[in-house]
Amino acid sequence: MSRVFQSFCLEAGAELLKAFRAPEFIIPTLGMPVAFYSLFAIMIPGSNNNAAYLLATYGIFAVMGPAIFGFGISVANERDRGWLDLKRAAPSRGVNYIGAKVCSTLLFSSMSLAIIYLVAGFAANVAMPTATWTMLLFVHVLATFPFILLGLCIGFLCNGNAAVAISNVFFLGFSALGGLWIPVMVFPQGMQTFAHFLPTFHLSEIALAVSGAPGQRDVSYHLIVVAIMTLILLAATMLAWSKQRSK
Amino acid sequence: MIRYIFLLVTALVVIGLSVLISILPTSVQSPEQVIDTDLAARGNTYFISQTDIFDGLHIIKNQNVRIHQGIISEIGPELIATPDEVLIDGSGKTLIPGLIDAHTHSFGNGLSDTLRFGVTTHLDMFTMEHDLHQTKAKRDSREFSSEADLFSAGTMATVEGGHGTQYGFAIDTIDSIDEVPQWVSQRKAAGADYIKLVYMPNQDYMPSLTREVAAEVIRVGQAEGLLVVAHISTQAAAMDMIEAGIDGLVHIFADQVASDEIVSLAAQKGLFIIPTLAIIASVDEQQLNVALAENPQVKARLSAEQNATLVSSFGSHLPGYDLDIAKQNVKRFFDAGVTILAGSDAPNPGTAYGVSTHHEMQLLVAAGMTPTQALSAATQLPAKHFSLQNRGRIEQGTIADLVLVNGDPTVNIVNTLDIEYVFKNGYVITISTKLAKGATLSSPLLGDFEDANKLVTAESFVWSHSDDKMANGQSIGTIKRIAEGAGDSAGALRVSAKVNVGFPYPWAGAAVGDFIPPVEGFDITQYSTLSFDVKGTAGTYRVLSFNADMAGIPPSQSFIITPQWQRIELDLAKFNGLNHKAFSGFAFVAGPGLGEFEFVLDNVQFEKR
Repeated sequence: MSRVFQSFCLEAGAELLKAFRAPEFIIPTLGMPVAFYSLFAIMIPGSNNNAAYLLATYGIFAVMGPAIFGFGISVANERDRGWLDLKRAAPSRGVNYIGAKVCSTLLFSSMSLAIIYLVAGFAANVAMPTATWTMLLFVHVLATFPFILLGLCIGFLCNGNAAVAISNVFFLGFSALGGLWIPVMVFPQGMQTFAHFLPTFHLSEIALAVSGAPGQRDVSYHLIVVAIMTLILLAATMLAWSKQRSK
Repeated sequence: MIRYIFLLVTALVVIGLSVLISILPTSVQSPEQVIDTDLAARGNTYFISQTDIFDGLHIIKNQNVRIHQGIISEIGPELIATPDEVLIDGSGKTLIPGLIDAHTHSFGNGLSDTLRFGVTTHLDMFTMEHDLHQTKAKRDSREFSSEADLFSAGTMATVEGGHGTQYGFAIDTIDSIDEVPQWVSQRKAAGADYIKLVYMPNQDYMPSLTREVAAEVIRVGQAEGLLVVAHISTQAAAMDMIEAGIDGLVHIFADQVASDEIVSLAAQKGLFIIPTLAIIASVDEQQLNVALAENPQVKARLSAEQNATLVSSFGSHLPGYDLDIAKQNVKRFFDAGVTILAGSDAPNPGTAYGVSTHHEMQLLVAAGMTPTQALSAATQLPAKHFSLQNRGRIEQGTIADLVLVNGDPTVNIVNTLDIEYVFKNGYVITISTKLAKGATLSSPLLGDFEDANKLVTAESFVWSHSDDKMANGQSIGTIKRIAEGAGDSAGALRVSAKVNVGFPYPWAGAAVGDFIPPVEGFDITQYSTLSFDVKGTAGTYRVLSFNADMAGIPPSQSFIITPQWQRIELDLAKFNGLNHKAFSGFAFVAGPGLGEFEFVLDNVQFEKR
C-alpha cells in the first residue's frame, strides 16, 4: 500500500468512523429523503401512479443531503475549531482531507439511494430493466458532485452557525424550486422558467430521461448546463479554498 | 483497524448496491389467462355422471345430466351414458347454472374475461351502444362462443354533466321532461333490453334527473314494456324511486340503516334490489378485493386487465358507503321479502369481471343470506326478474351454460370458485396462458372524417373532446366534423379549445382512442410515424400519447400549426415512455398556454417505417 493511499484510507476511515459514532447526523440525512418519497409516491392517494417519475427526482434529493450538510456544516465547524489549520500543519495532504470527505459522502449518498430504490422497487412497485436501474444509479451518484462543491463553498465561506442556515436555504430551495418534490410542470410559468437556473432541475431531467419518464427531454442541453454549473461551482470552491487558506 | 474501515465500507456498499440492482423488479409482461378458441375435436354433447345439482333453487343429490348440442336434454338418477357420449365424472362435484351477474358494464374483453369464471350472462347497466345489436345477436345462437351473453340497458338516463357523462364518450342525455318518450324509443332502437336511470338528488357533485323526469322515464319505459331500474345512493333517493314505481334498484343505499317504512313499502311493491356489495366494499376500502386477487383459484383464471381493475381503488373514501350498513340493509330488505339479485358493478375499481360475481355471492352470505339463497340470487332469480328464457336453471330444455365446481357451494359459498369445468352453449371452456400483448391494429387510419356520421375507427376508437375538466380544470374542448378537409378530402374534424386557468397544467382539444376501462391496448410496434394534416390558429400544440397500462403524465410531443394546411409527421419513438405494445390513444391539444384556439385535423394515421 503506497503511503499516499494509506494516509488517504486513514483519513477516509476516520471520516466514516466519525459519522458512525454520531448517528444523529447520518440517520436523519438518510431517512428524510425516503420518508418524503414514501409520502409523495405511496401514501398520498393516487400518487402511486407517479412512483417511477418521482423516483428519478427523489434520487437527486437523496444525494443532496449528505453532500450539502456533510460538507457545508462539517467543514465550517472544523474550520471554526481550527482543525483546518492543524491539518495544514500536519504531514497529511490537503487533498486527502477533501478526498476522504468526498468518498465518505459518496458512500452515504449510495446508501441513501439504496434505501429509496428498495422502497420504490418493493413498496411502490416501480419496475425497470436492470440496465435502466444501473444507469439511474450512475446518474444519481454522479449528481452528488455538484452538491459536494456547493457544500465545500459553504463550508469555506461561512462559520458554523451560518453554514447551518445557508445549507438549509440551498437544500430546501433547490429541492422545492427544482421540482424534486413536485414536478416542475405543475408550477406557474415564472417558476418553471426559474427552475432552469437550478442544478437540481437539470439533474432531475437527466435522471427522468434515463428512467424513460414521459415527456420530451433534450438530455445534451441538460448535460451542458450541469457541466457549466459544476465548473462555476468548482471555480467558486477553489476561490473560497484559497481565500480561507490565505486568512 | 481504522485504515481498513474505508475499504471495508466501500466494498460493502458496492456489493450491496450490486445485489440490490440485481434484485430490483424489472418490468416483465405477466402471463395472461385466455380462453382457448381452438375448436378441433370439440363438441357440445356431454354426459355428466353422479353429480349433485343446484338447479337454481335447491340442491338435488346424485344425478346424471345429458347435454345435447348445447341444451340440457335429460336429467335423472338412472340415466346411462351411450358409448358415443363424452363422459365427465361429476362425483364429489356440484353442477350449478352458469352465473348471471345482474350489474356490469361490459366493455372490451369483459364478456370473455367473465366467462372464464363461469359467469355466462351479463346484465349490463350502461355501456356503449354502437355494437349492441351485434353482441346481442350472439345470445340466441348455440354455436361455440368464447364470450358470455349480454343483456343491456344501453346508455343510461341522465342529464347533461350528470353521472354517466364523465367517461369520455358522448351519450344521449335527457334535459327536459318532453324528451323522455323520444329518449326511450331511441334506447329500444339501439337494442336496450331494459332502462336504467340515474337518480342522485340533493348532492353537489353532479347534476341529476329531477324526481319528475325520473318518474316520467319509469312511466314511459314501463308503458313501452321495458323494465326500468334505478341507480341510487341514498335512502331518500331510493324512497322517491320506490314511490314512483321503479322495478328495481341497482345498488343498495348505505348512507343509513333502512327505515321500517321503506322496507315494507319495497316489499309491498315487489321490486328487486341488486345491492352490489362488492363495489360498496371497494369504496369503503375494505381491501377484500386485494385478498381475492391473491387467491390461487382466482389467479389461475385472471387476465392482466382483470387483475388491474380488481386491485385498483377509488383513491378516496366517500361518505355514505358503509359496508356494514349496506349488509344490514340487504338483510332487512331480504327478511321483508324483497328479492335480492347478485350484481358486481364490474369493472369499477376494486372489482373485476367474473371474479366479483363470486365475491358478491360471498358478501350476500356475509350479509346473512344462506349460500343457497345467494346462489339463487346469481342464477334463477335474475333470470326470472329480467325474463331471461332458459337461463339460470338446470332443467330439461335450458341452455347448457353450466359450471361444475368441486364440493358443495350450498354448504360453503366459496366453493363456487373451485371451478372444474365451465360450459357455454354446452362447449367446455378451456383456458390457456399467453403473454399479455395488445392486438395489432386492423387499419393504420385513425380518422379521415370522410363519413359525416362516423367518428369511430376500425378499432372502436372514438373521437371525443378532451380537456382538463376531468382534473377539475376549467378548459373546454369541443369537436365537430366539418365538410371540407385537406386537399380534396370531403371532411375534417374541427377542434375548438378554450384553455383557461384552473388545472395547473391546462389543456383542451380532441382525443382518439380507447379510454374506457378496462383498456386493452394495441400493438403499434410495426409503425414508425404518426402523421396528420392540420391547420388553424398559429401556435405550438401537443400530441399526448396514452397506454393501456399507464397512469400519470402522458408522453407528449409538440408540433406547430399554421393557418395553411400542412402535414405533420411525428416519430413514434420520440413519445418517450410510451409502451408501443399497449397503445390506447392520442390527444391533440392546446395548452398549457392560455387562450382560445381552433384547429382542423384530417387524415390522422400511422405510417410504417
